[in-house]
Amino acid sequence: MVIKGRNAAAIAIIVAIAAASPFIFIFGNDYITGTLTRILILGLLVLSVELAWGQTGMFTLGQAVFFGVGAYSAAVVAKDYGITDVIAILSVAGFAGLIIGLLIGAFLFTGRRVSELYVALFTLALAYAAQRLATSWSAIGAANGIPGIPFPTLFGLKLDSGPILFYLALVVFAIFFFICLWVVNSQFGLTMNAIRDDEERAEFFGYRRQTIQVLVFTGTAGLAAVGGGLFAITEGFVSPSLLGIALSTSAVLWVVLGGKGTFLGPLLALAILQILDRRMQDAFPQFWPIAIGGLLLITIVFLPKGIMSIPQVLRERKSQRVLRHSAPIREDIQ
Amino acid sequence: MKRKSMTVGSRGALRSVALLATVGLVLAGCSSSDTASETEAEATATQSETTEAAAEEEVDTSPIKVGVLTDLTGAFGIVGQSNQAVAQFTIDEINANGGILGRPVELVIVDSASDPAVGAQVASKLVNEDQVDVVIGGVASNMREAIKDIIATRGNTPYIWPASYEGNECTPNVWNVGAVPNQQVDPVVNRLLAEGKKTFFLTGNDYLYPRSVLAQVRKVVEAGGGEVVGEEYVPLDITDTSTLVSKVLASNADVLFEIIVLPATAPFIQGVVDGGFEGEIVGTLFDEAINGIIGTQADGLLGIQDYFATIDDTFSRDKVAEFAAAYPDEAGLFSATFNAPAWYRGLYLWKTAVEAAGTTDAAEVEKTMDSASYDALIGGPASMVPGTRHAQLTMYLGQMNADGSVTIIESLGSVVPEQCG
Amino acid sequence: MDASLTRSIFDVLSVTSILVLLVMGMAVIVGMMKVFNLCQGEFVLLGALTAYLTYEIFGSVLLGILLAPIMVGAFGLLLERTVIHRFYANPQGALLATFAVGLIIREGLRTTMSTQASPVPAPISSSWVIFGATLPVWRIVIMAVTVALLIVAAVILIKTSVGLRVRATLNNPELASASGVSRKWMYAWTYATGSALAGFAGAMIVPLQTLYPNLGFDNLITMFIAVMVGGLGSFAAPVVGAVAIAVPGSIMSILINPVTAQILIVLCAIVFMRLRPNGLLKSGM
Repeated sequence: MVIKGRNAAAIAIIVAIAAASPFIFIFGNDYITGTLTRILILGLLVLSVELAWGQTGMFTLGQAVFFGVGAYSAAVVAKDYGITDVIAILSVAGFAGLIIGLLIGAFLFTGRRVSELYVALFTLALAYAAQRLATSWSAIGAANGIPGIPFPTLFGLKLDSGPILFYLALVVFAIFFFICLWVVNSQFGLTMNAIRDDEERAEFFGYRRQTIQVLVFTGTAGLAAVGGGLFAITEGFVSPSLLGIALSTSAVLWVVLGGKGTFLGPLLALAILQILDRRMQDAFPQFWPIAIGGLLLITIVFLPKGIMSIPQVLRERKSQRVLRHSAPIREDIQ
Repeated sequence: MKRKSMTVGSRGALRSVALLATVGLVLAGCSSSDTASETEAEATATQSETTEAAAEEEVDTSPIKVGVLTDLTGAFGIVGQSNQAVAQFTIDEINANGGILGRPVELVIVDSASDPAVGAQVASKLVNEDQVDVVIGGVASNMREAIKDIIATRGNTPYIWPASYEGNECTPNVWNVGAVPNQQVDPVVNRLLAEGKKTFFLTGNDYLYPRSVLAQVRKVVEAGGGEVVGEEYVPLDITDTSTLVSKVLASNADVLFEIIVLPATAPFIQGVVDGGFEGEIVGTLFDEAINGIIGTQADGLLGIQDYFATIDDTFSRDKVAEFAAAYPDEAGLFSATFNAPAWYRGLYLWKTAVEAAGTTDAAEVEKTMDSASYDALIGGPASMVPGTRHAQLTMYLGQMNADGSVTIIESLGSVVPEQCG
Repeated sequence: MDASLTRSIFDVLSVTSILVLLVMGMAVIVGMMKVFNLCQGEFVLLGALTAYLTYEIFGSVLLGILLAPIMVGAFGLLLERTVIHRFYANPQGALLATFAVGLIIREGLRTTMSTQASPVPAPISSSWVIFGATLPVWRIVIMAVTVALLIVAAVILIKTSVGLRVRATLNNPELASASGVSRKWMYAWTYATGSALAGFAGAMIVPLQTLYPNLGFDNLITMFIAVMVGGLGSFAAPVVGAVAIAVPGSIMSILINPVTAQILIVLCAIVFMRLRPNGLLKSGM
């Protein structure tokens, strides 16, 4: 029942986006289409953070590293080797992400257990190092990045208009969205959650904690890298900021705002913020970055489960009023 | 096992409807305004077609749209706000003098937030949603790299890059109106070599612009019989330059050619000067805007730019005074390193090209812009050198003073860019 | 000894003392309290801002250096009582909340500043010539102050009853409160002390780095790496970590170049952190 409902929701979303899209192309323009395409692409990054952190408890503050690895490998393959076939490019990007993810995942999660915060700081330092490396590595354009990436092709057909690139992103997003749902709903997904909830107990019950963490981490790296590859071929450029701290923390921010542990919440938060972002930035250029910080702080303090928990919080408030409970219970130090 | 944190659950379908409703609403908000602008654009198009067909003397009076893309926020926010003011000032002036082709000019301003990924988005907005006739802007080179294809290639819209930069930008529809390395480097290095200063220490931040400029310095120094005794790069986010200062002091070079960007500029120069460096200190980033930050140690630094506030040119002085009166908040920031003269120049050169073409059509402007030339510019006359996509500029060698002002040592006249040959 | 060698040794000492000074506040908040305080860099920034403001208004940087620990300490106290105290049982929440606070401070300053960077002069701008090398006195002052602060901190933590109570509370909160120590205010004041130290460091170093919005953030990663290399659980470990990365870092900057040195240090630290997750000293994570 649960699984059915969730998949139904996902199918409903994808179908509805697909059904609504012709109207967007008729009434909108390449900028709006581009914004939607970007939401779908960043959606892959959000899914990867949610899988790693929300579902498996690996607090990654450097997921953009894999997004960037995918973007740069796609850029190099398309520009320097002249391979424009979209399946080939995304395979290369995803594969590059898997390899780097496997190396880092194995380094982090095999052997002695490390705490969530260690993972957080390690990945944060990694994002910093990766951006620094890309900024000074002249073979990949150093600080200027790689511009002028050619449009992708599919079976020899050139995918060179906004709507076509949008559908490309939609198809790729749909495929990976369903894979994510399938994984989370499988027996393997239960194991991921078990590790998230209590690593030691999961290990005690005989789950192979190390293997599962490495596998999930590698998988999410591949997923983020496919997103990066899509970014490179749809936007036509890559730059070092794609694998840095800013994008990594933004991805975590979307997950926090939307609600860690859900897929819909983070995707919704991403969509709202991306659409609002440009309008708000134009309306209040000076104050919007501060407002983002304020929004994050308020969410963490008052709505730790994100916007998806608003109905739940309201219901609890109501029942508490009825039961005349005075204060919410908190696990404070005092 | 209980899975309490999964909230998608069976209520997922309901939530997805809510999600769609929200996204739908926002999109509806976007597209309604776009529909409006598009209908307007279509109307304009139809109107211009019919007028052309009907009678040639009837004039199109719909506004010409100039897209301004700059970093109003983020690391380069200060520069971007100055750019915006200069663009507004220039366009107001053009409108006060009858616009372009008898049509008024209107600005569409977007904020690229010092982030190339944001820049790509807003560039697409300018070209696809606002359908501007030209885009001018960008502060750092990585911004140009991120937006140039979206504007010039995919968007087939002229793009003016108004900054001194590393060179080699030869994409069709892209017009470079700032100085390139040979324009800033050659005159000053040759002058120093002629004065008998033969040993050079080169240093800058680790990115393309400093590396390209310093490569040009090395070329000219070695061709002129001088010697490079040290070359060192530091990270962009360096906080302590003390080890670099020591290397410069130990080199005992006759000349330090440096391109260390803010915020490390001031600590670095102060360290070198206070440490007793006796040679000349030269840079492509020294002007009135930076002197104030360096402080009294700026005394004696040599800078080469396309404009200084003290140049002997009444037109420039009057214009900058007008600007200062109109934008008192940005008055102190009209300077070469803030690209202010290049923005003014770029807009006027494009105006000239449009008037020569008789239309804002990109293909026509691509032909006329190639040899556009204009004299009444801040910093002196400028002209595009045909076939190079770059501008021939009047350059000045200035010596910085402790009070932040600049003494002009030499007007170098018009210097030709060596680009896209 | 020749001038060049003197300068090199001086640079290593100077770079190290600056990092140690910056890390001390973090040693209290991250090392002792184990709060992953991502706005630590912004505490440094606020200290630098205090020095800048007293210079602009009263013409005295020294006044700012004296005021900075008080102002930033008070801010830390306020922040602990409003936000941080909610997250002692939820370290991830603390990390995200402090990231948000840092973002607000950083962007707030960016909005109000009218230049990209503002210089703040050193209270003492003269230089000493030692073995033919001209050495700035302010850097020597920072070395001396850093050493003095370390000694004071060690004496307070080891010899006084305040230090004993702080260590007891942080190591075993239940036992300490059973023995009559107010946990609530012990945590609050410890956090405030860590903030005050960061603010002081910011005011001390701003003459060498100028005031700019990313001043704190640019120093943050290095500070965190120092803490991770040193290890958690004590005041001393992060300080040792700071020395352990600043000395080889500055030597590599001198012998190779700053770009390679920076990347090598980060990579070595990352590998080291994995091989010895507990750091150079003691256990913790």
